[in-house]
Amino acid sequence: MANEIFILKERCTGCGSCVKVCPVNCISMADRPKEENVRWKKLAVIDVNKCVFCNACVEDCDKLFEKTKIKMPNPDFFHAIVMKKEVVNVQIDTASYKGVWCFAEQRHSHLMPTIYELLHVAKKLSLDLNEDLSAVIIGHKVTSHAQDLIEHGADKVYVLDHPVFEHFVDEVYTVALTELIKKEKPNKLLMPASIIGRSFSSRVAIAAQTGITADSTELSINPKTRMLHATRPSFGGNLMATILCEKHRPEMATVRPMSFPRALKVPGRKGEIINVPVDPSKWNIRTKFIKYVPEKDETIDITGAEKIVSGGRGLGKPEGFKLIEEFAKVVGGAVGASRPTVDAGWIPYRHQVGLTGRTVRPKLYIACGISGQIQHLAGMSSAENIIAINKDPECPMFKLATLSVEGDLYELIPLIIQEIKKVKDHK
Amino acid sequence: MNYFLTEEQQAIVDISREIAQKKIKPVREHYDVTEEYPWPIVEELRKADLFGVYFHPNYGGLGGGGMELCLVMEEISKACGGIALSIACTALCAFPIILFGTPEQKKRYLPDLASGKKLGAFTITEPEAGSDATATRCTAKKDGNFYILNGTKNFCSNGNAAEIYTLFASTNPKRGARGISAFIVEKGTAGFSMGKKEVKMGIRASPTYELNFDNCKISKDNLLGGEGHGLSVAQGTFDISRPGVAAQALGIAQGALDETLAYAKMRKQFGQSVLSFQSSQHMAADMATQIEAARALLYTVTKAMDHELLQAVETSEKSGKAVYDELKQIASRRWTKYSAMVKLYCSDVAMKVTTDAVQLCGGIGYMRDFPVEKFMRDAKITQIYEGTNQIQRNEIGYALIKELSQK
Amino acid sequence: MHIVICIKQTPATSNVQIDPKTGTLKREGMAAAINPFDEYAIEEGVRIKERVPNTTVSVITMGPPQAEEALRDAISRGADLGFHLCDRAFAGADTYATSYALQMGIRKIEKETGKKISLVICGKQTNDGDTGHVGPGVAAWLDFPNVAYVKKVEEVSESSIRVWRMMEDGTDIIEMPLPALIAVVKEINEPRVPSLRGKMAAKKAVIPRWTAQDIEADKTKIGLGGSPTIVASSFNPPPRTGGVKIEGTTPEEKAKNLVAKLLEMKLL
Repeated sequence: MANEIFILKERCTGCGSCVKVCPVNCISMADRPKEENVRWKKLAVIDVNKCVFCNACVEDCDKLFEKTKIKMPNPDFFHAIVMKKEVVNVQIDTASYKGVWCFAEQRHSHLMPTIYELLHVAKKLSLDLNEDLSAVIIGHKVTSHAQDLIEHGADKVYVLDHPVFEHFVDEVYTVALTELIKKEKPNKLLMPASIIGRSFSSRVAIAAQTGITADSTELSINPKTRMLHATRPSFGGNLMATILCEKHRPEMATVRPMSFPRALKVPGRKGEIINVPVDPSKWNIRTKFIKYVPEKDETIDITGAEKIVSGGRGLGKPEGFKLIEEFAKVVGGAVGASRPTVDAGWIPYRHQVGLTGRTVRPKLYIACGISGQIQHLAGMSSAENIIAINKDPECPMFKLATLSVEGDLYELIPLIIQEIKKVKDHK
Repeated sequence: MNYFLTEEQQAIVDISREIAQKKIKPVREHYDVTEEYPWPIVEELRKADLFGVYFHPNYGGLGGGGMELCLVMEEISKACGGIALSIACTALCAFPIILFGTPEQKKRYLPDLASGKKLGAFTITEPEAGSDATATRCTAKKDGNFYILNGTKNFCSNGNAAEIYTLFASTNPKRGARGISAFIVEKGTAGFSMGKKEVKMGIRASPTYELNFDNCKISKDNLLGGEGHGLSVAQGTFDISRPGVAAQALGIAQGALDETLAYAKMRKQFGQSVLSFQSSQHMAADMATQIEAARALLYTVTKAMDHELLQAVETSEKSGKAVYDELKQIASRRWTKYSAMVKLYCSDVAMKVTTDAVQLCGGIGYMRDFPVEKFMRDAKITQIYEGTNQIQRNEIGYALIKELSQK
Repeated sequence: MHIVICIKQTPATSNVQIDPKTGTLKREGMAAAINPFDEYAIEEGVRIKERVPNTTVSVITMGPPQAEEALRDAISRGADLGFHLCDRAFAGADTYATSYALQMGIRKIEKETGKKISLVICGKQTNDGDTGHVGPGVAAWLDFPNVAYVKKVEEVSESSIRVWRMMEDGTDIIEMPLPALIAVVKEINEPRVPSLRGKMAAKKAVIPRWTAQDIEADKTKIGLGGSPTIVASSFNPPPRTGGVKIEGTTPEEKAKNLVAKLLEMKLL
């Protein structure tokens, strides 16, 4: 049986309330056919292909019946939406899953800063649950990091240290982490939404037969159900959705980098280090890692940058990025760009911020000559502080900006650079 | 406006538009500045089958006619009238072969032109012979099974990019206009070399070259349409090729209007959008009206021509006779008058509209950073080549007098 | 070779608009198109077909009836066959249920065409869901090795593939025997525009439409019911209200005021 949802025509008053509550905008109001001889002119129509069967409209319509002050000629109104949802019974003893886990990502035996962000948010979750906080580190020559993880808040650290983990290979990491999950049964598992995290977390989820929420930016525990509420942006941040994994464990989520502050270090903090024995001989590994080629580019990578100075079409010419580079250097930040400038070949793609480029969340984002098309805003609107420099005071970027300066960027930026240098010298 | 295009024609428009907007727009300025040949774009056009829209399926084409070519030209020219010439010049090379070629000539040359594997060019102009083709000095002397070409051609569009050329030379200088013959010449033939490259005002993505022929020996099988029939080959070709120029002009005009409207709406003066001034709206209204009138004329004439042309092409494939001969059986009248009208009107509209576009954009319109001045530079050539607009008026006037005398 | 490309029809990004009154996303009248990241997957599949003789490129999508348009679009861009998983029972699927259904569809494609699957290609992520989880998920279900974030296919043969993976700090070069799955990023190629012949072929193509029963799907693993995760609620983030405008009569004054303000906010 498939899920079903339909409107009882004779009960619908066409009030439009359900349209407002639908999270996926699948309900619209249509004109009621004239011959139906009902006093209400409108009728709700549901696009079942878009419906996610969340029940919001049903609850809303039922509630309206209680609340309405309109005198009904007949009480048979509202309660107009009927949903029949397929129920799948999954029998998992959720109570036997304990503890909050964080995956500590490392590259070439160095810890990535994402783990500190995970530990920060996971600490709060573990306290709310009153369960242990553990870190899992998979790599080669990584055992020495265990104490650091403990000092950043982990109660336990699972260490899988073996030459087979020297380089990140999806299959290898998946089987190792899945085996550990099946054995230790954690309650929650957070992973970074970095390239490595995004690559293999979903493989792990499927191997462990559980659900995963991608790219969360807010995480909390429901005190009643003890479930993880993972909130994530979709449509480039224009819609936020809170996701639950009700019946499967562990509840997994990847966490967007730079969404949380880093956990503070408590030197000398004590915890348990568990060296997990690794025996790759029984694994069926087909992938062969050939080699790693480091990036030659010296410029700061925008994805992790704390400060970004971005240039847009308002620069008018490719040479404009020289000025932006100089500005970025003085501020100590990376260089970003809007899509039209990348399309025009003024600057390489890796600098592009936006829906089809990188998503960034710096402390400071300076947008120079960027009007603020929605596609660009999608990539940077969660920056903590946005400074806009633009000729057009009506541009969308000004509405978003913390501080905005109206004027010719070629006039203003050199003056700003000069001013910053002056202040720095003064110090 | 719904012009009731067929499914195929609509697909041609969609694909051409996608290439124009996605691939050509971002690079048009580059090619305008550097005068490089847009080979990467030509490759896109090839992969999308756009070179073959007006060829018979027997040569790997899609079986369309002039209308299909016009749709491609219009859409590409909306982004860049210069890059569009890679297709138009190839068409101008192919049309004489399609109309006058023998079955062998068609089999030999058309498939490569239809696939875009080889580009084509058409060369008739000489230093002394422009509008007056009868002054042709380039000679082709019969020598057994060969012709020996000598002389210079200039202003050859698609110059060094082409590999197949249709060329006009005198086989009998004494007979003047009646001594001119058409030939097919391939690049790489001994004695055929490129002369100087012209630096132009507009359509700078299209290379214009001088061609030199120094005892260039070609087979007699490369004679197109019989000795002394050159002018009728040229005239027959122009009849069906001029709408292509018209479509280029129309696309340039539309492209300029689109850019201008977008800018004028955004640009604020005296606290309001420039487009909110009635004087601007009146200008825009005139531009849009002229463009639509031009388009209506172009499509109507081209569809009427195709009605007869496609029929002739089809019968020619069966009979083995030249398309032009088949056409004479069907065509109620020659198309010279109407094809001249289309070329005249569309190109005059393009010049008018692009000039007004620069005016409406004000200072920025005059700047190289903004594409509108390029449209204006590109538009000018459409009033000049494939017969100046003065020649077009002559043709129309001559046709009117002739019709009067026949009443 | 037999390549299967997984695609999704999503709202065209160029049309993403915000309702100025409510600040919410306008979805009405939004044109649907192939997820832009999937265009690179299609192009890469077609390029491999041009490199390796006797290669068939199949495209699969899961979605409502109108998603068939995305399959036809893929055929116009050079793919050979399209397959459509279309059943209300698939609706409301999360990444787990989506990847399950797609892999069952891929198994069915192998059975129907009689051509063994060598390579599955996905886009990096979709522009509406934004998870990047479905590709690796499909690999997990099929038990194929996989590499995501692929920016170059260096070598490919009937039996193996060598790819470049784009990492934050450089490039990993990885080799896998086939069958395998790759998820590609936009740096990998520049997608072509459909060809006229492709477009005509796409119009005529017969695209089978398969239900959950057709692909022999386990009903507890598909659609909303088979999804471990559910959307509990969704909301529009509070829109930012415009901040402080830096005033000043001359550019010099403005620059000075801005820097002072930045210092005050401890941003320098």
